[in-house]
Amino acid sequence: MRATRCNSLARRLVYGLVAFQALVLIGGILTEPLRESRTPLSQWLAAEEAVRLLAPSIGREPGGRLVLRPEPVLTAYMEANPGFWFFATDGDTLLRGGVDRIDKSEGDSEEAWRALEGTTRYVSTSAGRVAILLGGQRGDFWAGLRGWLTDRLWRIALILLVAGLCTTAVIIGLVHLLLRPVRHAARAAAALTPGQQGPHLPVEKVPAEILPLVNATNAAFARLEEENERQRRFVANAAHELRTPVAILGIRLDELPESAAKHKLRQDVRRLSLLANQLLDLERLHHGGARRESLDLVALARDVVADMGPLAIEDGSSIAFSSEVPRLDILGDEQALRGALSNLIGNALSHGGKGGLAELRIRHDGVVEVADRGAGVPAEWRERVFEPFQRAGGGTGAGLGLYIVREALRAHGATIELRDGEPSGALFRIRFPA
Amino acid sequence: MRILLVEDETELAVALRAALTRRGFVVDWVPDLDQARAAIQEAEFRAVLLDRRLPDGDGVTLLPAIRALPDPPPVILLTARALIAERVEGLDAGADDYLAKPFEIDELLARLRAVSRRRGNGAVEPLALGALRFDPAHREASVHGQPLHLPRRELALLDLLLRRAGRVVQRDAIEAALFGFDDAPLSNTLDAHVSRLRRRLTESEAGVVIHALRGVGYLVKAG
Repeated sequence: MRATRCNSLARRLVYGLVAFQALVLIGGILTEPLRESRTPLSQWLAAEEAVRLLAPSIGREPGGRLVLRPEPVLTAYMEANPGFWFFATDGDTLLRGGVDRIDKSEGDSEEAWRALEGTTRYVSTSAGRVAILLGGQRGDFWAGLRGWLTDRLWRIALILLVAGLCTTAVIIGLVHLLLRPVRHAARAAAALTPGQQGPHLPVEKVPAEILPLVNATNAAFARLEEENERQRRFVANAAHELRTPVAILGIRLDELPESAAKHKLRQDVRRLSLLANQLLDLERLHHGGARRESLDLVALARDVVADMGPLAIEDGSSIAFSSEVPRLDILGDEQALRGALSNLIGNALSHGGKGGLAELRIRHDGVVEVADRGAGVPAEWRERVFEPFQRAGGGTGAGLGLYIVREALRAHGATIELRDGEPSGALFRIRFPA
Repeated sequence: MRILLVEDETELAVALRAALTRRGFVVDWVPDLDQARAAIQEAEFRAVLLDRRLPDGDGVTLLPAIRALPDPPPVILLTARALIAERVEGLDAGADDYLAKPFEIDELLARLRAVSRRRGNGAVEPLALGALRFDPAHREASVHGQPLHLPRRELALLDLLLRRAGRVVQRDAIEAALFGFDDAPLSNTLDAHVSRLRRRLTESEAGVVIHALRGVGYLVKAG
């Protein structure tokens, strides 16, 4: 779970539950004296203290019998409290202390035993669990209170530590388990791409408490998608509609007598139609994705070079193709790849200078290179040339060409980088996924 | 040369008709498939320019009717976008060529010339470039009216290049046309033929240049 520490659900649950457990424990301890309603609090506290002093002195003989080995503190306590007496038993052996002093004054009669008003405590000792009946205890109220609370606080701390660890383990496990569908949804969200069809985040097994969030997210995605689709249709239609008037413009231009102005106008029309076509290409790439048909990249690249040949010769440039492999079969979208390669070659021709050479090479490892012998591209421009509407080389287009190239290649999982050519110029290097 | 133009976009059709008329074509224009079907029955056309998006359907659906004519004219499909799939579909359906809008009038004229030549079985029009004329039917070349005698393979090479004048003819295609299986060429045999043909054309001042594109093929153009 990738939550920040302070916002961790598990953490909050652990804190809350441990605090609750602590409250219950403290409440249980504090109400302890009240539950023994017959005894006054001071008496009760004194009994607690006496038991605390007594417990370490109870042990067991090698034979298994319970035995009293009075510790100095107990002896001192008994001397200071002549009225104190107790019986302790594990069910087999009965120990007694201070009782003989009572015997003398009251007599060993049944009545005398009955007259012994005492309280019963069950206490853990080194000899196991022992029941103690005691009476005649005295003690300082505050010291008793302090002793009692200190004893209980240690126990609370110990219990809380154990309970807290268990709680933490259980809650982390539970939260992890319960939030698995949420993580699944998050992964689905992370993998979302524009133009994806159907519901976006999976709702299966998502806890009911979190379902509204997932549903609302899906609904929001659907609305965004719808709006996106509207925009897409608009751009596509706009680009599409642009072409008929551009076509008409081009044909009407033909009526004009030949002149320098007509020549320039013709170039303008070319740019306009290029832009309209590029917008449609982009729309197709972004929303249709690339088709996956089996094709031979060597033949396709050679074809593109051949198609660009007349343009190169018209410009007084030249163009060359070489491949270190006879064929290179890939899965791809022929139109998109054709467009990308001819764009790169056109780019190489226009930046290669008059009489320049544009070269398309396919290496034995399947890397495709398009190189020119022009001035090259300064290092700080190399990433920017692929951004839309960047016209790094002062080209005449809208600056969409290399952006479309990159998008087309990206749709194929291929990468393109711009490097220094050998011996000079720019070198575009394309790597297709293996 | 009479052409049928099937196009629903009035302005485009009118401009296109005007441009083609100026170049000596006779253009009949119909805006939909229905009228196009009637038109091809009434008159004989040398070529059909067919839009794909028509108000009463896809232009491709007219192709069978055209193919069924006694002397079917070549068809150039016009479309808003030359999607490869669309193009293949159109060509499979029997169209001769494909042109994406917006196109330039010169491009359209080149395609028109190319398809009408391709179709002209029997009466093949001579190919002309610069001062060079080539008659594919009789395999005869001439410069300024003077016959140019060329060996068999150079004639075949010239034929191939002239048919696609101004465009690149790939090496593979030339080698396949020039050399049989039994005389598979050495890698530089073709270059030798090309340089001999090039020399002859220069010597006879044909005004024709053969450009070589390394690793791709050759292109012939006036110059």
